[in-house]
Amino acid sequence: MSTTLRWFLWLWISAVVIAGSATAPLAAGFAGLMADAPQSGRIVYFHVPIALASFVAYLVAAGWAGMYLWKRREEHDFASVASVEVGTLFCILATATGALWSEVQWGAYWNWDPRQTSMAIALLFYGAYLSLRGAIEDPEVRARLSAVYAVLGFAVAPFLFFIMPRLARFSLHPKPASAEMASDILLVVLAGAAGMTALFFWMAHVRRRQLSLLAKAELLAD
Amino acid sequence: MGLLDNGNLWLAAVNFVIWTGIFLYVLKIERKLDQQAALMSRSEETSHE
Repeated sequence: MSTTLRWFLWLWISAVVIAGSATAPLAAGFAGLMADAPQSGRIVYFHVPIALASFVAYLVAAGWAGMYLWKRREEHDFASVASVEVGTLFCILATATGALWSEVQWGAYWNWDPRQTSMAIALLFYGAYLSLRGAIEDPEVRARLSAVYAVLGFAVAPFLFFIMPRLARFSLHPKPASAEMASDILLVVLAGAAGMTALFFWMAHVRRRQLSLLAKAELLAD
Repeated sequence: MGLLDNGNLWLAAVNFVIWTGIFLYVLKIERKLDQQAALMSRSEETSHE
C-alpha cells in the first residue's frame, strides 16, 4: 500500500468518524427504541462497519487458508493467521460497541440476544483457532491443521453473522442495516464499512509482514 | 442535529484523536518493519559474501 493510499484511508475514515459522531442524522428507524438516549444511535456508524469488516476478515482468512492447502506456501499461512487475528480484534470491538449500546437501550451489557450469542460463538470459534496454533510446535503441521480449521470459516462465518441471528423467533437487536435505514444514514454506514475493510487489509498486511520477518529471523539465527 | 449540540463536537474530537492515534501506531509499526527488513537483507548479503 503506497503512502498516498494510507493517508487517503486516514482522510476517508476521519470523514466517517466526524460524520458518524456529529453531522450525520440519527438513526431515525430506531427512534422509538432510543427515545431516552437518541445520540446512542450514533454507534451504528461504528458498530456495523466494524462487524462487517470482521466478517470480511474471516472470509479472507478462509481464502488464504485454502490457498495454503493448495500451494503449501508459508506466506499464505501467515496471511491467513494475520487475517484471523485482525478479524478477531474487529469482532471483539463489534461485540464491545454492541454491548455498550445494549446497556443504554436494554439495561444490561449482555442479554444473550441471538446476535450477541452468535458473536460470542464466533469469538470462541476463532479463539480456539488461535489456541490450536499456539499448541502445535511444528510449523508445517501447525500451518496445515490451522488451514483446515480456517477453511471452515467459509461456512461458519456466514452462518454466525447472517443466518443464525435470523433463525431466532425474537431478537431485540435492530433489523439489519439496509432494511430500516434512510439512504443518508446507509451512505455513512457503507462508507464506514469500506473504510474499516480497507483498514483491516492494511493491518493484516502489516501483521503478515511481521510474521514473515520473524520466520526469516529464526531461519537466520539457526 | 447540529455539530455543536449535545456534546457532539467533543464526541467527534475524541473519536478523531483515537482514530488518528491508531493510524499513526500502525504506520509506526510498518516503518519499523521496513527498517528490520532492510537490516535483515543487509545481513543476508554480508553472510553470502
